[in-house]
Parts: sequence; C-alpha cells; structure tokens
Amino acid sequence: MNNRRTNRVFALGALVLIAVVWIVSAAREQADLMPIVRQTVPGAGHVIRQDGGVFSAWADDTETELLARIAIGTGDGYGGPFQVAVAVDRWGAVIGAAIADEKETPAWMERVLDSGLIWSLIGKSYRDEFRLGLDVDGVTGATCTARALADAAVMGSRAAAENLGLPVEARRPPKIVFGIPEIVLILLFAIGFVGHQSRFPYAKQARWISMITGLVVLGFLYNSPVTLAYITKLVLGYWPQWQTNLYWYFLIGGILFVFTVDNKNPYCDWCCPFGAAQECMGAIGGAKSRTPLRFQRLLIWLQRLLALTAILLGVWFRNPGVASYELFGTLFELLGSSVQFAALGLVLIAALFIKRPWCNYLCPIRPVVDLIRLTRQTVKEQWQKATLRTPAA
Amino acid sequence: MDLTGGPFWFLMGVIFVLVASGFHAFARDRGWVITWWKALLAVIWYAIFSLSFFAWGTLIGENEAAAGLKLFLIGLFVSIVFGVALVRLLAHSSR
Repeated sequence: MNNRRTNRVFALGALVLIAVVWIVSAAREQADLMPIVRQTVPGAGHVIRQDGGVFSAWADDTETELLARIAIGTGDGYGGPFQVAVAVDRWGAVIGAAIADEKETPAWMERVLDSGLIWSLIGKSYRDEFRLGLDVDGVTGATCTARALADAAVMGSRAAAENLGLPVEARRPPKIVFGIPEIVLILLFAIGFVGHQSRFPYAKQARWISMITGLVVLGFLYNSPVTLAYITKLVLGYWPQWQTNLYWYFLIGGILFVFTVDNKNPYCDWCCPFGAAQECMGAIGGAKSRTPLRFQRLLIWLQRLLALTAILLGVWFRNPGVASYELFGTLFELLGSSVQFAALGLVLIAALFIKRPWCNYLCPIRPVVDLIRLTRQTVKEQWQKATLRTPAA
Repeated sequence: MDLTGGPFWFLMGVIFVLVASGFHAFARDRGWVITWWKALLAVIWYAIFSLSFFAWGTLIGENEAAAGLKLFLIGLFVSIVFGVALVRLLAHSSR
C-alpha cells in the first residue's frame, strides 16, 4: 500500500471512529439535573419538575408556600454550552445559582469559581443584565468563561421569572464584538495570503512581521491561538453565538477558506503565536530540523495518534477542553500546573536547537491540517476523474 | 564561625576566579577573540546564573522555598537562553 493510500485509509478510519464515538456519547448524555437544582434552594422541602424544563421549589410537600422557580440558562462557554441553574423568588430576585454543566478548561474554571462570581449573582433582579465588571464581578484572565456564566444566569433568571408570571421584556440581541483581535486576525490572514504568492519578493520579512504580530497580539495580549478545543467544539456541533464569537468564526472559517481556495496553510507557519515563540527561540539558538529520517514517519504517526486520542476523549466526554494538552495558556497567561510549566520549559529550551519541536512532534493542530489537506486533495481528484469521465460517456 | 558571612563570599570569589580563568582558556582553545564587551556580556551571564542560586538560597532562608524554586527555575531558563545566544555570538564573531 503506498503512502497516499495509507493516509487515506487511516484518515477515513479516524473519521469513522470519531463518528461512532460521537453517536455513542450523544446517546448516553442525559444528565440528572435534580441534585444541581436542589443546591440552588437548600431550604426547599419539596422540588418538582414542571413542563418546559422549569422546576418549582416548595417549602414542604403540601405545595402551599412557593420558595422559588428554578430554570436552566445556557451561555456560550469556551468549550461549548455553559449551563447554570438559577432560582428566582416570587418578586423576581435571584436567591440561588449553581453550575449545571460546563465544558471549560479546568484552570480557567477554577479561576472563575475562586472569584466568587456565582455568589455575586445572589440578590440581583431578573431585569438586570449581569454585565461583567458592572452588575457582577469580572474575572481577569477568564473572561470567556465568566461571560458564559453571566449569560447563562441571565437566561435562567428570565425563564424562571417568565414562568412566575412576572413581566419579562424581550432581550436585545447581543452587541457584535468586533475589536482588535478580529482586525489583527484578518490582517494576518491577508499578509499570509500575499506572502504565499510566488512572485512576492518580501515573503521572509512578511512572515516575520506576521509571526511577531501574532505572538504579541494573538498570544500575549489576547491568548487566542487555535487550540484542539476549537476543533472538538466544531466536531461536537457547538456553534457559539456569532455576535460575540466572530473571532472564532474568522479563525476556523479563514483557515478552511484559504485552504480550499489556495491549498496553503495560512495559520501554522505564519501567525500561530506559539509557533512564533518557538521560532524566536530558534533564531537565538540557530535551530535546525533534526528529525532522523528513519524515525520521521513514526513521529508523524505518533503525533496523529496523540491528536486523534485527544479528539476522541473530547467527543466521548462531550467536553472539548477536557483533553486539550496544549501549553499555550501556560506561556501566554502563565496559567497551568507544575507539569505544564516543566513541559513548557522543555519545549522552549528544545526550540533553541530543534526547529519548532512542538509543532513538528506534539501539536494536535498539524494532523488536523493534514486531514484537511488530504480531504481537499481527494475531493479534487475525484472531481477531476468525474469530469473527465463525463464526456466519454 | 559564621559560614554564611565572609567565608561564603571568599568561596564565591575563588569560584569566580576559577570560572573566569576556565572561560579564558576555553575561549583561547576555540579561537574566540574576547573583546571588552564580550567579556562584559559573559560577566553579566555569570551574574544572572549565580544570582538564580543566591535568590533561591535567600528565599529558603526566608521560609519561601516554593517561591525560591520558581525564581531559580526562571533564572535558570533565562541563563540557558542567554547562554546559548552568548556562545553563538562569541563563536560567530571569532570567524
């Protein structure tokens, strides 16, 4: 079996495996919400589920004194839907809240939990917008997770208030978030597109400008590189709200678009901030590609196996963040465990001597990029075969 | 006798002289031309490297061993990066 056929067979096998795990994990995902709901009103003697997914918390079994209505609100988290159970009393005040489901990266989630954000919701009215830093406490370094929690709480409190018969005004659509990261990303893709043209004489300089900008803006300022969680999120079908997640759509859509049109990778070698950090280290140490030829294929397949395992774990647990093993947050936010910091140190020191060690041997994005490239190639070949056959027939 | 006072710094001085003469011999063997600014860079590197250890020891004495270890590791990381750059600079400019 030649190399190309092997790649196609394994790619197909991987896609089938992901599909099977997806179906199995979707079938078993039926969380029992009652224990979470009870946490929101600990003093309730009797809690029942009503139609429409709203719960009622009564003082006792006689159901004469209603303490609160509890509804589950959903926000867009970093790894997917973020659900919060919110208890609202008869006057529309939030009296309890508990996280029902989340798919966040543990380090970020821990930061939000430690901040006490969820406790700052207590006493708010269902009419409040729960704006971070204004109505409720913000959380530095975990804005996406904190915003998801606040949005979920708004949705939950309004649903509960509506069920109580309180007047609920239609919520205004969210403001479109289009700022520096989105503008910079579009510019970087544009630089990459121009730089990839064979007649462009300043490709090397353009690539360094793109890399340094990516390192500073997408890395240190906004910590928004492509991670495996983005890909797993896509596989799981968690499409975030476009108004507040334009960056995500530009990033994934841009990569797929440029690949389809140009067959060039606009991200990894040009604006990935972690790749740029490694290249900077490589420039200091004079790094070279040092993969022994006889291990080259083995290392490529190990990297693919690692990425596939991570995706399968993310799909199995239906939590994109659970198996992400990238060190991006450790470098750009200085957030991570001792093991992650040790691994980051090793990768950066290795990058002094070996060209992009993370990208070449460990990064899960590269196998995904290879899969996109292979799919494009296969579709194109099949298309060409079909168009050649048609006139003869 | 207080070993953390005079004798310690005397020992540090002896080590510094040995390191400096070792570096001089190493540079001569390699054919590196050591100008005053290269020597200054080498001294700065040695200062960062040894300060990482001193900071660690000092923080252990202040009952901040965990912080000391972190500072030491950061210092070591900076020393390695700066050291690699320094060796490349010295080797490159001697040609």
